[in-house]
Amino acid sequence: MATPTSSPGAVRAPSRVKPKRKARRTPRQIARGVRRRARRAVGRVRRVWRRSLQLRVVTSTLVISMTVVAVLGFFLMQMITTAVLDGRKHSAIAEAQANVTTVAGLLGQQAVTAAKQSPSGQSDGSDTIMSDPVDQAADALSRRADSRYSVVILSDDGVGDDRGTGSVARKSVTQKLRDKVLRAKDSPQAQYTPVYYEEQDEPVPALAIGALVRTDYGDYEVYHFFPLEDDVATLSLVQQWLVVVGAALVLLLAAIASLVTRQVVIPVRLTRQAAERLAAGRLEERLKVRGEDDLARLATSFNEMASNLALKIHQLEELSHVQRQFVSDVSHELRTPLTTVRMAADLLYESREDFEPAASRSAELMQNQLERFESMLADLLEISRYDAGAATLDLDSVDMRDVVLRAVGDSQPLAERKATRLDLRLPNQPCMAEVESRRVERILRNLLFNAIEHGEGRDIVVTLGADRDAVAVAVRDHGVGLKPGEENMVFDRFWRADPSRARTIGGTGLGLAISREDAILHGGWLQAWGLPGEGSQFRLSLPRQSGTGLRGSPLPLVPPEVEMRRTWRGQATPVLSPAIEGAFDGD
Amino acid sequence: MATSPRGGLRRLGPLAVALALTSAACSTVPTGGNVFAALGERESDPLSQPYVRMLAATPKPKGTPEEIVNGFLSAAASFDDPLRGVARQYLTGEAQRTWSPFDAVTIYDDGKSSSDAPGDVQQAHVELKGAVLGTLDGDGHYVPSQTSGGSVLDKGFTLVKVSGEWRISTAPSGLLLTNDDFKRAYRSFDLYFAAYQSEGLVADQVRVPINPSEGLAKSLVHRLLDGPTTPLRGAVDSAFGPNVDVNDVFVEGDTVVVDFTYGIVDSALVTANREALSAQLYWTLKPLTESRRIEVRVNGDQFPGGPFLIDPRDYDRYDPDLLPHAPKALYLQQGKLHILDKDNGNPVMSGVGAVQARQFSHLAVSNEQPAKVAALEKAGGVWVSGITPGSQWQRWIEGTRLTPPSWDRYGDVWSVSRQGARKAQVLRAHDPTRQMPVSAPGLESTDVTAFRVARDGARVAVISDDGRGQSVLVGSINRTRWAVQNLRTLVPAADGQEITDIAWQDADTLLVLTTAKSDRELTPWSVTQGIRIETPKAATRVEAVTAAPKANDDAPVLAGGPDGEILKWDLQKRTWITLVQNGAGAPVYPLG
Repeated sequence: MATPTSSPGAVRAPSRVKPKRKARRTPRQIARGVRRRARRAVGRVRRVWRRSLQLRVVTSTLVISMTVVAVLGFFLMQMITTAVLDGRKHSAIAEAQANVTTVAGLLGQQAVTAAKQSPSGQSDGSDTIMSDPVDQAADALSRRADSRYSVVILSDDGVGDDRGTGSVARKSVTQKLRDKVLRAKDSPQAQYTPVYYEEQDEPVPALAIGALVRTDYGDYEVYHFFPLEDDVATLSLVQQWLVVVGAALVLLLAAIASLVTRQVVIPVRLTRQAAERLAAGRLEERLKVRGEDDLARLATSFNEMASNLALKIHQLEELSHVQRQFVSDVSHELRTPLTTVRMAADLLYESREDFEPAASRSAELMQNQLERFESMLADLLEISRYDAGAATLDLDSVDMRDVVLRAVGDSQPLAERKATRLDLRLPNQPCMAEVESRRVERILRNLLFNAIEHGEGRDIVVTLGADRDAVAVAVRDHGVGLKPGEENMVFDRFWRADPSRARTIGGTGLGLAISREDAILHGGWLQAWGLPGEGSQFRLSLPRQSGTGLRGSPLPLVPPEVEMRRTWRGQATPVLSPAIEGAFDGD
Repeated sequence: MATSPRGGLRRLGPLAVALALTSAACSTVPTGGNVFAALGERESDPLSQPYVRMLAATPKPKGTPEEIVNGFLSAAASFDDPLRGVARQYLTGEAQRTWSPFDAVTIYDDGKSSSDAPGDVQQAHVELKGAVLGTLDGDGHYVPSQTSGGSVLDKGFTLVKVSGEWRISTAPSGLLLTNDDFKRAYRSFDLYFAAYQSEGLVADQVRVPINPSEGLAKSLVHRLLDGPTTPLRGAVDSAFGPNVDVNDVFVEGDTVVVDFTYGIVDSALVTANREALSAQLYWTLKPLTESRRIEVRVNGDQFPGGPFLIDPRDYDRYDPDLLPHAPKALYLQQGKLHILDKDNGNPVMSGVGAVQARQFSHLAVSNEQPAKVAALEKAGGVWVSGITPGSQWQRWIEGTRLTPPSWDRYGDVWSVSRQGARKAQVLRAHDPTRQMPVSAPGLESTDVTAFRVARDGARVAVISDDGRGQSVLVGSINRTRWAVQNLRTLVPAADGQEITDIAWQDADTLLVLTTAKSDRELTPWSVTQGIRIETPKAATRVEAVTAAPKANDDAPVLAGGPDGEILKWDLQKRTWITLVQNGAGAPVYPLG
């Protein structure tokens, strides 16, 4: 976590200076900016999409309902169109057939009969009694049609026998329909076609019905054009309404889906937040229970679970407390008899030379083991003080070099016994830090004893490093090293890498645990690194000012030579402080 | 449900039925409910009338010369092709340039085309023979053919073969329309013009061509703006100025909007002129607008100074027929003026002056308030008397051989003095002090036996004899130059035919009483169309006739018999009925 903090800063650095060059951005930069912004927007959308159940439900409802409404609307429109046009078609065909019958009657008669009336036919201004049968037919149809529809009469047999009523244009009759009518002979033919009028450029949709009238004087084609403007207007109105209603329906469905999911999602979201808070240690967190539905039951169960958890945690805390108290009490209680035993043992030990060699040896052994017993008891008392939270710091500003030298001096006899050389790497300047030198010395001593014990006689390197905020001491040995996963376990109480190995230098098994507690008490870190065959390194990092948090360590946890071989990845101990804090929070 | 599905179904049954019923009720047309106003748009353009058009067809492939000529004539009769582009396809390239369709319009009937083309030559000749019914003037005035059967039409077409097809190389100029074509392409309408310096209208019949791109109403207003036809030119006024044009005529709700150019504002400056203009517009458009209001607009905007609305009720008084609904006829009996009113015993009109020793005949009644009566005195002269108490008979026109007097709407009494064989002078008098001669070039050297001014005051009908027999002439009065002009023959002279009497029925209809051998017939003639409107009625015992507009039972055609009878033409029985047995003079309606 320590290293990534610097890398975003490095990445973001160019974007921070960007506003300065805003005035002269090249198109490529603009494109890049747009692309970046688009990518960011897409990323945001994707994030929202992944995170919002509501959005997903609403979107899928929208898509599905739109599809359904579109399909339904299409079929509905088809049906309405068919129904409207069918009604129109039936009436049109009926009218056209009646007209064709009339026309057939008129066209079949001889022209002479009408022509006779002609000279005196001009009574009361209705000067429209025609002599030509075609004119009579067209006139009859035009009166009957008024402006409801138009009629065109065409004839290939006669000359000048083409008539139209109103302003219908000749080109309204399509060649396709003509051919069909001429070929079908007796059955009328219909076609939806545009009808053109002389006075207007735009054609009008219409139903054309053509029929062939066969007379002795030639064949006449009679075409009826029923304009469908009204129907088209009706249908387009219906279509508009369908679209509007469909859109409203889709929106309504989306709104309903949104509402429903909201009703489900909001309790779930509340539950999640409550669970997060519960996980953060606020065990008193409870959900409000409204109603009796599934969500209410979920809340009830959640609350039950939370209270059970709190109860269990409380019980465990109690148990832990009792155990610690027990250890503390045992340690205290053991001291009194131990003192007596010790006095007796001291007496025996001092007069050992008067004993037989075997008894003398026993007295020595007893003396040794008693010392160890005492130091173990002291450690136990110390650690139980930590557990009880009774440990306090007695801070003093000291030069860390002195502290290191003192610790090394204390370890020198043991090192010599083990034929181990201690290699000191101290800075030239004083490294002042606010620490309790007794505790730091103890830490270092413990680290050194540990290194000597597991160093297998090889060199031990002690490095002191410092920067503006922190000081660090690293103790490196070249012993067996640590297996993966042991970096944290080494700090556990009474932990042994190899349970079968005996403790040679009389360690109590609590040294590293106490050291760690000491480091934490200072607001520092104590971390371990190790690889089998590579040895191990312990690093103590402490803030120079007491009470300020540590951000980093002046020394690397992994020895530089190892890191250079780039084998450290995956072996590194995660930074402990967050874990430790979390652990303490949990307690 | 799962335990007793049958019970569940039984419970669901009525529910399903109810659902089906409600949904069925929702989906159909309601069969009850509130009453609502049935107002709405009219389906079609109310100003248009149904019409039939000739669809011009291109030349028939491999057509015979006759077919080509007939096709050409048909295509030329197609009025929706203003330049006759289709008809020109029947012509050779040379003829296309020279043929001019708009020189004249000739209407013919019984057309027969015959070809002399022998089988396989490069040139053919087609003769079109028929009877000419009339011609149409450029101003839309139909001039019937002078001879009763129509003159003979004989037009020749020369055809040549152009790339295997016959094409017309020489065609007579002008349009040749059959009677059918003419009826199809033109509609007969009455235009109304302001009577000379008077609050009244004069009808003028024209043929308006049907123009699909313009609309009938607009064509009609257009034609109205062009002014009166030749026979009435000079006799009537138009309230529309020369610089007025019509943009559009359309219906807006219950109002017919006539949109003019700005010239209409100048024409309507004077109130009297504005009234006359409104009356002209309303009466002309009446057959199309029916009883709708008319609004005059100027270039699409409201008329300056408030909307110009023409309410039909305000202009009914402009009726060119002038007479009230049921006019009363008068007659003289033993020197007393009687009102012909059989229900009340034909009362005497008391105010008329004493006849004394004078012998009056041939009564005429004016339409003034109070009216005046004029009569011909046996010794000569036209005498006039009021009908108010204390009135005296006064001589207004002197002369011996005068035609029976005729009143016009302006209060003038007219007569023609026969000053010898084939010499006539038209006279007019407005008061006893002065009689004024009126020039009538067409009558001066004829023998005039009757002179009747129509009720509209613009037209006259005359029985004249120029030596070839009696004929009825129709003309108009030019009141600015005081002349009887534009005389033309309505009823031509025929052998052995004598025209006994004439009487105006309305502005267009003239009743003509003819005697041929022993048969006497009464025939209504259309003045504007120049044809008989109905078949003649037998009128054996009739010597004089009078008629009022809209002949019906309230105002029947009346006649005077030889022994002082008064007869009435019964429309239902189609026969003459005697109203007064004897001793009465011929009855007359006011004016006419």
